[in-house]
Amino acid sequence: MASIVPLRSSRTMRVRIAESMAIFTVFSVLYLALAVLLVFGLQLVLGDAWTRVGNASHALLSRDPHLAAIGFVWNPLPSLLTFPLLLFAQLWPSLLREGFAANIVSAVAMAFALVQIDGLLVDWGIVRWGRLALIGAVALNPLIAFYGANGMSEALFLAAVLYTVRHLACWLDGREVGQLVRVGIGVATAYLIRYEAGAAAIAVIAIVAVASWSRARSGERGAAAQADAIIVGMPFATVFALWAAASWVFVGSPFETFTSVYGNSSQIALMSQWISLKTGQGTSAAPAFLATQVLALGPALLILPFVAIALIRAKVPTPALAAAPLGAVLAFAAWAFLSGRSFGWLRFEIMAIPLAMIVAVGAGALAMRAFSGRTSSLAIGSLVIVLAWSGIPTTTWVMLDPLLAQEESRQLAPYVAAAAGAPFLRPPDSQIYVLGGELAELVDGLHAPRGSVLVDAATSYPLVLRSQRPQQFVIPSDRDFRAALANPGLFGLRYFVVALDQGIGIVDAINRAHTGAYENGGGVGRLVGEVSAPGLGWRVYEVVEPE
Amino acid sequence: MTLARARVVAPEDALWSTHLAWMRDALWNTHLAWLRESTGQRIRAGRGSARRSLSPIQRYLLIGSGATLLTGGVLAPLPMAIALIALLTAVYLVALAFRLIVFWRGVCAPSVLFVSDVAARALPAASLPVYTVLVAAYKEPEVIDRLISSLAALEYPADRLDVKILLEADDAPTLAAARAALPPAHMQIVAVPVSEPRTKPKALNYGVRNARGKFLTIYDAEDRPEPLQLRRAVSAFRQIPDEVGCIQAKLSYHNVSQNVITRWFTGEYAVWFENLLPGLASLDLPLPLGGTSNHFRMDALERVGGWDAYNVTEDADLGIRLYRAGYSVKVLESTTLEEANSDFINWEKQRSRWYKGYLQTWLVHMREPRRLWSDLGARGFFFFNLFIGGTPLLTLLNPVFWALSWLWLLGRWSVIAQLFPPWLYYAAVLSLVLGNLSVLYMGVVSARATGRPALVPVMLLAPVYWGMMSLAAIKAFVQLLYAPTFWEKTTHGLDRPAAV
Repeated sequence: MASIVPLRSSRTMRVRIAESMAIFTVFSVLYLALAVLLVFGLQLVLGDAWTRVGNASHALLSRDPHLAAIGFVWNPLPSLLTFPLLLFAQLWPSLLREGFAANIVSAVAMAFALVQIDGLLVDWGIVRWGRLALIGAVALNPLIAFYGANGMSEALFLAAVLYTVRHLACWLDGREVGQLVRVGIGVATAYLIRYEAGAAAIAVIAIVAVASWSRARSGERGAAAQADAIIVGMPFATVFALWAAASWVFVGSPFETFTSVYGNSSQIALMSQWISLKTGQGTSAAPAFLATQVLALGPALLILPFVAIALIRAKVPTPALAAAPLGAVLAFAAWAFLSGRSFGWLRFEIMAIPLAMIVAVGAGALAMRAFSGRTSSLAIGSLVIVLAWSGIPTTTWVMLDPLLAQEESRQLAPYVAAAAGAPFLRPPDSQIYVLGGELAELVDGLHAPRGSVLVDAATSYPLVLRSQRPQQFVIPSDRDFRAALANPGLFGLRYFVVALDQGIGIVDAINRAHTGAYENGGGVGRLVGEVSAPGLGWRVYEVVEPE
Repeated sequence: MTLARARVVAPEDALWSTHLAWMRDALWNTHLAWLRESTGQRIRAGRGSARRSLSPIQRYLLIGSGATLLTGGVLAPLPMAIALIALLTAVYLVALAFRLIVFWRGVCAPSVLFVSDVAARALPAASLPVYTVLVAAYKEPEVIDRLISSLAALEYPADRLDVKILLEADDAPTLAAARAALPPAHMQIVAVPVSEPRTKPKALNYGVRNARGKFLTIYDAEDRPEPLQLRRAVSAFRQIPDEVGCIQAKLSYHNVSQNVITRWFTGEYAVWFENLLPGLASLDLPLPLGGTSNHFRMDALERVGGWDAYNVTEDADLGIRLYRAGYSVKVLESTTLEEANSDFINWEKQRSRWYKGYLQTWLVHMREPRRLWSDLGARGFFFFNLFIGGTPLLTLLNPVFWALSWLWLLGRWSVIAQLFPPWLYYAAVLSLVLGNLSVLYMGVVSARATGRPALVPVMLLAPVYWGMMSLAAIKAFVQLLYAPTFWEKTTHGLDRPAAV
């Protein structure tokens, strides 16, 4: 008699878990090793990764520790996840001073993202060697490896979106409500990492509603679609509302990345001319720029429309529908760039890499339906893998292109050039890191007491992070910052540190509050010291009573 | 079965086997009757009964902690309040984590016994054992007709059914209605002699005395059991080990769309029977049985001594006692439809009885906490305190914390800020936000999982329903002090329009 308690095959489960664990371990270690090379070997500490650790440290280790100090310009999860690591910053200061906590998070997240791809491929019945080859095509792609190692939020974002994709595929095939809950949690988590996840959320809700409607009994269609849309959309709606509400309560506006001077919109406004010059944004050259970026990351995307339509017509729509969150994020990035709301960074298109792999798999599945037989399936399998791996050489090429990959080429090209024998020009992020060390040495040498050095942590983060005594600073997240900024003398400040009033430095709170602060102390300071490099610099002023 | 868990039954085991050794068939029936009587008596009069709410030690502890709180409140009100809030926040967070674990287990790996229609019908009639069905009713002549037709719909050979409709001897209208309905021969109308306490479990204990079945189940008068349920239960019992003493069928409601209360109630039952109970079963934790449709092995029921006539949620108590005696409880995929309480006042009465019963159950079993620990194990003990004791307590306290949150949001009273130093503030906010939202979400998910998508939007309004629960919890606490064993009778038949 059949068992009356449904059992999953425990052996299959064990094998799956073992494979997941192996992939997770191998790639975590690999990306961590790469991270050690970047941070400690090349001194390449990326500003955007480092400041996320900085935000966490403001909330945890600053003079005025409180959770809201994490800031509302950037969505909070990348910083929150470094909290447990920062508890060990006393034991290993590099977690904070080099921001290595972020690198650990990104390495683990990228490995987790690969585990999601593995789960997807298992569910789609790809044999093991095929799975490993396809995972290799993603995992060893240089852009994936770089963002797995460098501490940026791309890895976490990919992990959350791929988790969503994987469980959306499960739900489309099995219709278990538990899978739908996972999809909802995945997309909500993605929003806590990057606001682009909003696009993925809309795609997910739409797909779930339509799929649910089309499969439900007549008479129950509307209710089923509505119920499933609520289940999948509620976690996202909740975190969206909570994050906006928290931002509103603490800083007075719900969407800081669009309204704050430190946010994306402000940065784009500052850089718009430059972006347009480099990328052709706002001209007819922009779409071609974008297409080149995307196709270089995943040449297989060239056949995406055909594969998607053919899969739906062949009544195997799951891969096409499940990959929609990746497509939605890409589409959002494209729209934001073309409409002048984004920078044209290559990393915004990182979703193209796993999407291209899924396209290759989908194409293979369609080909297998057309040609049966062992020889032809071997041939098709090999072609799929070649198609998936074709992204590796093209990505390598695009990452070193100074126009198509401005950030990556700026950070990596100097090392490649130096290796080829050219003179080494330190990349900007590394320059900032090194200069931050000098600045921290200078300021720490002044032996200022607790809470007596005013800085804007958004523009002077290298100082705050590399200093041995972070409690000497008064930073914008401190609740007495405004009072100190308005009246440095009365507040009992001894020094202030201000960034060069060019580029991002224009938004430095001290520059904005005291005209000429960088130039001449703005009438409230006497120059004590300075560190600078071309286009970069900080000045340290001693506070003087205004006459 | 572990030694520790077996201990509670050991004396009776010994008794049982001694008797077995020398009593021959001639004596058997007398013995059984005596044992039934004596176990019932033991429960009724002994330490395991809710006849008395508090043991002397519990009374001293209660007075002692009250005095401590009062003294602390007078001498150092702020530290005292902060300590109390911290303790409660910790309880909330642990209870939430636990509920999420059980729920998620119930979503992903539920332990539910499944017997297909074909397998259930395939059991040859001749192989089926006698099945006792007990139905207790009191002052509800209007439901008798439908009760008899629901019972007649059960697909089980009549000659192997031992149905007992238990009515109170002084409830003349219901007795008259039952006799007038001319039930078939296998349905016996039993007049339960008038005696205190006037409770359903007392009637059930009386009904067990002459039960002939190898298995026994109970229904409420207004229940509509799924017709194959008894066959599914027999089939399931035959395939699972003897240590499963009871199988609980799922419960739901037939009058879901009557009004918003019945919708919420159905959604709540969905969470309980669709996800939480299967999750508890999957984690091998004790299951508080749910009112009706619990199917017992007769020997297990006898061994634990039947129902506690003084406990107003005798079902939850029995689930714990079964587990203490080394039995486990499983969930059966078969649904009995009940009548959801549609009237606000009536609902409050029923709910306050449930909370009072949980508190009674908690107090009874916690009279000997060390023994409870050794019977239930650490996990079970933890569960028992959190679920049985914690549910009414936290429901009672919810409005206090909701009110504090609103006062803080709207009024920014500095007193409230003082009550929540930063560390406590974060924990409390986490508990408030995550707790309320995840419980809301669980309701939505279960409503869908149980196949009622139309309930989902209504479940988004469940916080109003939670308010109703808290009201009932207040009533339960007050009543536990003044009328601990008073049974709030739930009125049935409110799903139909009044006769014209």
